Amino acid sequence: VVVTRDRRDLLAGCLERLQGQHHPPDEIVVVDNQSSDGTADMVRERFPDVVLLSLAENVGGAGGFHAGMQAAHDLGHEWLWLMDDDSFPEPDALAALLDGDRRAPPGDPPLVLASQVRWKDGRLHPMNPPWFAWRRRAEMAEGIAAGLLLLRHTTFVSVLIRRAAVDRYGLPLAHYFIWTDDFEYTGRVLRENRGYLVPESVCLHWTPKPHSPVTGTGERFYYFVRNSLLLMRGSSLTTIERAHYARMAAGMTVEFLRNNRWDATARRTIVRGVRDGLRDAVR
Amino acid sequence: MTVVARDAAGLLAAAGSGGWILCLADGVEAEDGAFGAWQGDSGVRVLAGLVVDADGEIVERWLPRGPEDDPAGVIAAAQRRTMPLRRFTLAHTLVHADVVARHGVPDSAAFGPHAEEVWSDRVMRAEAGLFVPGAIAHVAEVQAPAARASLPQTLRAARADAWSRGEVVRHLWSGLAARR
Repeated sequence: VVVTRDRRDLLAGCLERLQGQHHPPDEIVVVDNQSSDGTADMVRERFPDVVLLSLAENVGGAGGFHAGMQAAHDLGHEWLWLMDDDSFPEPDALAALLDGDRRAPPGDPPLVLASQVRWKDGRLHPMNPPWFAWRRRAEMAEGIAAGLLLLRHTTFVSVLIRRAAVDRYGLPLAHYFIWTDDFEYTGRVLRENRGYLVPESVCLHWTPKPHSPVTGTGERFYYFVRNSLLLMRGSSLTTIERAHYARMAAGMTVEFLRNNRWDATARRTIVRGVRDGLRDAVR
Repeated sequence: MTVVARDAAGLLAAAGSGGWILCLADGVEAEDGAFGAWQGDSGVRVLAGLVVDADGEIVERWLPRGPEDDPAGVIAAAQRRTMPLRRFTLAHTLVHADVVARHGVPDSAAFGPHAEEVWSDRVMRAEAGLFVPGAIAHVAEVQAPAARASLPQTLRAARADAWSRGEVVRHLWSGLAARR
């Protein structure tokens, strides 16, 4: 499932990499968030086997993954491989993820398997850090013995979600629009289940800069603030995790304000985010 | 040659051997050659393994800690089925004699049951070490910790900078709660 909007060339590069996988996916679903740059025509012409889901309005990454996962689930697939249009998985990325499933420690099968996500220069991408389940120490040790790292959360950049996760936990929350939807969803699924980062599976996240939510995001930071509050009011975090998350989100908010020199627009962005995060329904 | 040590005194006594010292808690028996080729890994001076009980369950309180602030290092090590060490216990750990020569041994008088945490934190700030979960030792019965830390011991450990702020709060809270 690839979610895209107005990045035709990046999407073409992503799809080429998906088709060039040593273990190619059975089917590719592209969710087009109302692109206006000819994305849909490009997909139809160059990738005729791809299932194209053209949405009538831009519903953001969260809404796109919601729709794409629903479609892939309806098509009957066992694993849903999620990514943005600027994700470039290495040729053995999917094969390595599936091998991670085969060598997972005995017990309930993992519901999530994730690649390590790197930027162009090889460093871990700051937007997609892996959050390991350090508190589940025995399970973490079992995972390492199998060459896998137990996850608590991950992002939707080259992550496999098992069909059973959708059956049991539903879909990502579309109203998040962008950001934190993946953290919330994987947190919900992995709170009482296992998921692993598979180190041999690598995906490049081809952003122009190695940015994080606090750098160069302008008024879009609103979604981070609002969704962080919705996340903390929801069910995907434990009480202690809420406290840790609150501290982290507060630090990022201060960093955002500093980066923007505490100007009026940045302050208004935060105020709107806090207001809506406290007011909107968690769902 | 590997010498076995069962406590800090044994560790100190074995330091003169110049080789590897296998530290084992009371009742723990390591499988032969558990650490295998890892002993030849250049630069590595500490190797920590697993301890499992009679039911085959991992003894959690003897597990080492990893560097939570270094995901890239953790991912790289996982490809070799290991994890970099941040802190460790001496329940099933191979320590090179050089380490004892450079850092001494855990100071139980000063830190009580926190001594291994404080000492291993200091060691791992200067030495390279790996957790090797494929190295397994067995224990028939897990003994409860011998003694509870006194408040001065906990405060000393807190000031030794081995714990995160959350751990400091947790240790102080559990120490105070146990005294009520």
